[in-house]
Amino acid sequence: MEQVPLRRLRLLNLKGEPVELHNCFQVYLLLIFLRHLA
Amino acid sequence: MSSVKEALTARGVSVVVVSFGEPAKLIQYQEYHQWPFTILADPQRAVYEMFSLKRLSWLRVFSPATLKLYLKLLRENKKRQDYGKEDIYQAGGDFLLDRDGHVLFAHRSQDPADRPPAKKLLEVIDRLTARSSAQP
Repeated sequence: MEQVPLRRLRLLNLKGEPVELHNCFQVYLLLIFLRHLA
Repeated sequence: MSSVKEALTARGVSVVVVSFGEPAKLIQYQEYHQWPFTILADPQRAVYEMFSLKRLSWLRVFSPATLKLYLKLLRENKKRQDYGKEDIYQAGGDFLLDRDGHVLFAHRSQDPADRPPAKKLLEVIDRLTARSSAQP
């Protein structure tokens, strides 16, 4: 099974501040990666 | 979209939408679309890369499925918003993770119209939940 290092995933909120993904979980986390904005 | 969110929340699933757009552009995007989910930015595309989301070929971006999707959006009178220069070749994808970072479901889009339907995602989650509750 694939595994990703959650603590290394650096994402920004809309204010440009870093967000730690492990704080976004309930039991599971669905990540939806967009293509370009339209 | 809200009913999908409710169905996911009831199953213990949080949703985060990731874009490679700059945060400032995403504010405009969210004001227009009003997604009921958290939106986060990955302007360096490091996380896209970590999930092996590559750039699509021209043939895939302008596939018959994409053209069919755009025609459908036009018929629904959904106009394309302009957020400045964008990379139309970047692939998207959908990934379900557990707290340890295990990828329980992965879908890497093969063209812009290639997304798993919400129904399929919910079925996958229900199977996972049934499996984990059956374990001693």
